Amino acid sequence: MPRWHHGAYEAIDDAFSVLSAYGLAQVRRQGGIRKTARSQFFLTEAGRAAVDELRTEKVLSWYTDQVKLVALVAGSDIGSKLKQRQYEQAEYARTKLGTNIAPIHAIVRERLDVVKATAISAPAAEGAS
Amino acid sequence: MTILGEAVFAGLKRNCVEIELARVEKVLRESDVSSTASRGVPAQLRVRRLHVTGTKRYSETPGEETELAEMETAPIKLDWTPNDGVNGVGSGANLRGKSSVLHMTMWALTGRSHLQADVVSWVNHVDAEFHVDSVPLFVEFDVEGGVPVGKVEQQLPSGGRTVLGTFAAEAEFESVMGSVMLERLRLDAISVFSKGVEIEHTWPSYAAALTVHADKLDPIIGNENTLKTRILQMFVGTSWASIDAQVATALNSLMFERDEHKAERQAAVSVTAVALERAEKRAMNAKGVLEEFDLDEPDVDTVLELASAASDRSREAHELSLQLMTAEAAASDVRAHLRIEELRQQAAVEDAVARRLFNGMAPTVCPRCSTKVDAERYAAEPATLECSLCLHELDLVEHLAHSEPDAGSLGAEDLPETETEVVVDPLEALRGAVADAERGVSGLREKRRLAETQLREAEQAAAVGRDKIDSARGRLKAELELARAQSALDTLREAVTDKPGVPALDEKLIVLRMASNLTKKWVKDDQELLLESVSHAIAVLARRFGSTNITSVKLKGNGNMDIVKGGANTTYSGLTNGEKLRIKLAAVIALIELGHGKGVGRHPGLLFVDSPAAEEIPESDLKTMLEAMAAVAEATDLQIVVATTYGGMLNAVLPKDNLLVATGTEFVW
Repeated sequence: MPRWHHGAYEAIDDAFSVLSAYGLAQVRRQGGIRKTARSQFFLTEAGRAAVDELRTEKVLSWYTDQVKLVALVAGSDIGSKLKQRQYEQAEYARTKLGTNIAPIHAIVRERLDVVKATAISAPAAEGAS
Repeated sequence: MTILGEAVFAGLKRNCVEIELARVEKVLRESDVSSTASRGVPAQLRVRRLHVTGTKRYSETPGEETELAEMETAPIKLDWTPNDGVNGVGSGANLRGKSSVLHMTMWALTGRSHLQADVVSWVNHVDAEFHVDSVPLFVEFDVEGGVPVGKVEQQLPSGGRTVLGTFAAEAEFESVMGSVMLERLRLDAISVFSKGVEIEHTWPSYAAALTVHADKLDPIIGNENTLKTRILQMFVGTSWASIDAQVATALNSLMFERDEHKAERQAAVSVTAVALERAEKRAMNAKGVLEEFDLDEPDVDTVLELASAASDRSREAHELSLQLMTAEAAASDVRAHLRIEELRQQAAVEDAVARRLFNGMAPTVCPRCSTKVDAERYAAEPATLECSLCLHELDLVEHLAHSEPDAGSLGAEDLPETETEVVVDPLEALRGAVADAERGVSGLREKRRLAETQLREAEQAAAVGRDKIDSARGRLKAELELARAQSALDTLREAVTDKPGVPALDEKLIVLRMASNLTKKWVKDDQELLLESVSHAIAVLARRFGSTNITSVKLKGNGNMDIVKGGANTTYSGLTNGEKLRIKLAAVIALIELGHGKGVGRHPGLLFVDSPAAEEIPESDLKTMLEAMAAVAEATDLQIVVATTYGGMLNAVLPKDNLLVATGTEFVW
């Protein structure tokens, strides 16, 4: 994924148009035609029903799981906040505009392992005291 | 063929020794042994004249030191003409030149001077005349600085003279006189081999034997013990004497050569023995040194093999690592392919499911312009297969069916047999390939693990070997040393056991020994009668000379003599000097008598007797001897010169013409 002005960037218009065509989701933009100030994405009732169906679909249910994780990480942060969080990663910050950002999963995994290890050893240390 | 050669051949054959006659002759010829023998016939030698001029220097006060300039000088003018028979050279006192007359005669006769150096320096010129079988020979020479320079001439029947030889040094003089006299007196050179050197005795040795010195009474014949037998044989005139001498010389020479060879061989054997001992010691030491090494320890070859093995193991491990790397890369590729295929299939399934999901929904607006979907057009879609929004063809086929082959609408059994293909699930194939690749990798890992274990072991062994390489090198050195020492020892042992003789030398020795035995026998046979007759004559003469108690003598072939004196047996060496002198004179005169009487022998009939009274001979005894000699001389053809201080006695016994006598303290010349 390339870096653009607001961090990692991907054009979602085509994908969103499909959701929009079936009435599953809607987008509302604020600001001028040339310069959008804010984009708001809404899930419709039909969309909610489709998600429920998707969640039970064996082959595609991983998608809703992933969405949960994304929601877990992103929370309710707005775009500019998420951008800041991205730029805390050196790979994101150092990448020139328009070029692909190098993967960071290996580093993230290391951090995760450290966190996990700390979490496992901590109760033992307490027990010992 | 020669008499001696044939006799030797026959003698050897009798002794069952087979050597061809030609070989025998060759050996004799190569040993310088003459082929013929002749009985000696005497030639007559006489001194007819000795003329000496010069200047003598002498001191009037003998015993005191006198300067050369103060010495008295007097001209020398000796003119001596001895006759046949007994001649006397005498003086009233000693040191008056009587012996010098004999010495000067001998000088002229042989070319070898026995004069004192001062006397030689007095002499200016010598002129001598000798007769050989009545043929006059003239020897004339000047003395310049002690060196004789002159000539030898022979008188021709016509009255003139011919020069036989000239000389300008003592050696030349001796050589000329030797060749002149030996030939004319029919004497052969006597070769004597002693201590590796062959010495040829020529004319001076014979001439020396013509003088009887009162102070040199041993041996009986001549004045040299080494030559007494040979000179006796020559003077007696034995036929095979000279050939026997030649054979003896050749034999002695050969024996010497053989002894030398033997000595050399013994020396070589001794050297070899020492070398052998050294070599044995060396081999033993080398063995000892080698035994000190632990034979279980690796030697150099083993160490090198270990290093080489470690290197091989290292290479194998490296090759296995490379193979493993390649296999891992291949396995990784296969896994990647599998992953891609899995993702692709997953994507296909997801796509189909998603499509089905969406196909089950009813689109409401255009995703581009949000225009509402026309309900009629939407309802017509299954029939028209057109998108109700953009009017493009719609694909409403159930895609999910294609993504799962087992549930496909066309089963394999529905296809014609000829179109049947083996359906291969790429996922299964890839999974198989991954499993194979991982097994391969696993096998290679195991192999590499083994190879690395072996490499470590080999490296450890090589390291241990390297630590012991010094010891191994020492052991190798010791092994090499042992091999060298053993080789040297073997070679020496071989050399010691292989010692060929010298057959050619042995054959020569056999021939010459036989020849020597034969010639000795022939000489003995030949001279036995002659010696008997000479012995009888000696006994008679000895008694006439005053040794009346000597009843018989026996002169033996070797020059020794058995004597019966006063009824007792004795030998020549057991006699008193006076008796020896008588016997010695008697022996010479007897030999001359033999030659004169029987025409056998080689004594030239000339005899010098120097100072006979010096050895316990009283004047009266000497007179008896002289008278006897004079009487013998009348009957026998001989010339005797007696030099004595009893000048008066000479005057009394000998005729005046035969005398050269100085009275009182006067000089003979």
